[in-house]
Amino acid sequence: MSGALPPLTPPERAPSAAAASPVAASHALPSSEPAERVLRPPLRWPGYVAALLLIALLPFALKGAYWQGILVVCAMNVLLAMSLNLVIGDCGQLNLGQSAFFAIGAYVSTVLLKSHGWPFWWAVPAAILAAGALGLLLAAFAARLRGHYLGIASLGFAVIVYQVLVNWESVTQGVRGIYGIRPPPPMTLGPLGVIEFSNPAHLFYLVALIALLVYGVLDNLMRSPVGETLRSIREDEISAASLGVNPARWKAFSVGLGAAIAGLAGCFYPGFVGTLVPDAFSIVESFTMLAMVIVGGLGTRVGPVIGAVVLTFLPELLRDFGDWRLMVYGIALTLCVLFMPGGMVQAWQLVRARWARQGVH
Amino acid sequence: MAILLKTVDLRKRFGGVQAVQGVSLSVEERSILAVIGPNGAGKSTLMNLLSGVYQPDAGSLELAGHRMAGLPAHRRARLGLARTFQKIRLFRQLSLLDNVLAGAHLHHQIPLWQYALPAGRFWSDWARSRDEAMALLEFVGLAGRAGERAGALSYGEQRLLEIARALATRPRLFMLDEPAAGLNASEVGFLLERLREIRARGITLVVVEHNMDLVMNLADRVFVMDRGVPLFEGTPAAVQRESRVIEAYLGVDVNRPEVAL
Repeated sequence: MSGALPPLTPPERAPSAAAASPVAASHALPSSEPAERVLRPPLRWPGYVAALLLIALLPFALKGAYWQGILVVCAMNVLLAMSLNLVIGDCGQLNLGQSAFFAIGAYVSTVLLKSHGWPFWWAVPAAILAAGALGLLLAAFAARLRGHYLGIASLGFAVIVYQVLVNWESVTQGVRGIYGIRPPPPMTLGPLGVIEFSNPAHLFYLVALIALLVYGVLDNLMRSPVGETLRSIREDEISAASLGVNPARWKAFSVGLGAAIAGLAGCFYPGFVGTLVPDAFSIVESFTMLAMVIVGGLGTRVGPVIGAVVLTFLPELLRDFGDWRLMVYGIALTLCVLFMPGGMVQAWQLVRARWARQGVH
Repeated sequence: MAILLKTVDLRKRFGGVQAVQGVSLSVEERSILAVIGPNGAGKSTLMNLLSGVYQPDAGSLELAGHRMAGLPAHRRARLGLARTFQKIRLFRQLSLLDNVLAGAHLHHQIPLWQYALPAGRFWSDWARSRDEAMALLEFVGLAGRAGERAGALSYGEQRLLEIARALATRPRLFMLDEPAAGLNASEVGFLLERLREIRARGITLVVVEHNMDLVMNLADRVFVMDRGVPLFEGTPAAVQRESRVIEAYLGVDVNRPEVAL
């Protein structure tokens, strides 16, 4: 390790933790993580390589347009769950209106595409910016709100956006919806040939790679001082402010970036489904995203990804239950929250800790 | 010596209660001021006025010539003001190391793009901020537990961790709100030694405290408050002789200092 010693270290007089400090000497609890491990940046590329392999192989494992379509939905849900986790999990701000930003991304990109003739890949950044800007707007209005109040305000915001989509018929065509939306234009990728995004497997590759890219950026960001700052706001805003953190600015950052990512996910939805109606972005969608984040593990990196995968595939796997499907889904969700309040990631950590204690590997 | 902190006629009212009134303070650079007074004297309100948790109704306050009235807490931290809290406010779910790292918020120097894609400066900042945080944990005797969650620490250890976290902001003025509350005698001894060491490093201290052993052994000057108004200011020895102070604490006019203090 390099770097100058801080002004407060008395090198020769620094107490060796045990000898000079009665406080440190009194503890007997085992360390939950050894100091060396928290100081070393973890090795991450094997995880990314595995993720790439998994993405490459999934369309071969799940054959047929139907299941590959589910894969596309799953990749979009992963993006949405990560975007919401940034706000709720990392920054601790209750946001119940994330579906609004998904809707903005979908509508802005589609309207630019269909009514103004923009190329798809220009419409995408515009949609991201629009969703992000709206996120900043919400953050500015809600800057003084916390907890439940912020939850209600964001819910109200989603209702407003939904109503605008329904009633601004000259642009959104209201409840009649926009039809005949085409998937992203084909791409020519050298030796791989032409990638046709009307093929759900190819669209899955596109959305999944973008999701992996977003995951990587968020992963880095949350390990950087930005992550330290957001988590300090989540834990205690007054304390964070006493350390020089401007809570309003960083909350706006997380809400804005979360909105932009949801907007990005929204760009791929209309071209996949082919139609766009406001009902696709009802309030329930916000709660589904929230469920993904919570089931996976609030504030963890892989948690929301796992939560999105599980909650996308679970309803499909429950089709045999017929009319009982939604009830089984609801019960499974409730049990999950009851018995794994920290989500699947934390449950796994607990299991692993138990194994380690028993000497099983 | 230069005056670091100066307040003139600070006032704060909560509904019908005049919590702080007419507080004028001058704290010299590298000195230690203790603020004492019975419960409800307005000490914690004064701390919150100084650190920006509350804004004063009237009066001025300056840190090293910068006017602070009206500035939010995070802007005051930028001016070199750090604090701990009477009711401990650690980031309980985070590790000890992460608590202290959060205190380095103002001191990172990383090009923007490297936040998303770590490269050279990001990693040198990573190493430097962790070195500093570990040194501060070492300073309060908690380095060996850097990976544990802050919520798992004992009460006294939590107070020390809060000190380490505040020091990570590299303050000029460090305010501690009842740092010895809930500590046993040997912990108070360690705290006293650490606070002296902090002053020796050039940091000015304002300490609100009930533990008179600590106050009398540590402070250069003592500021006594009662019911929101300043009662007396002087050296520890002078305070011990002052009958008004004893009266405030005991509520009767006793002329025997050793009874009260």
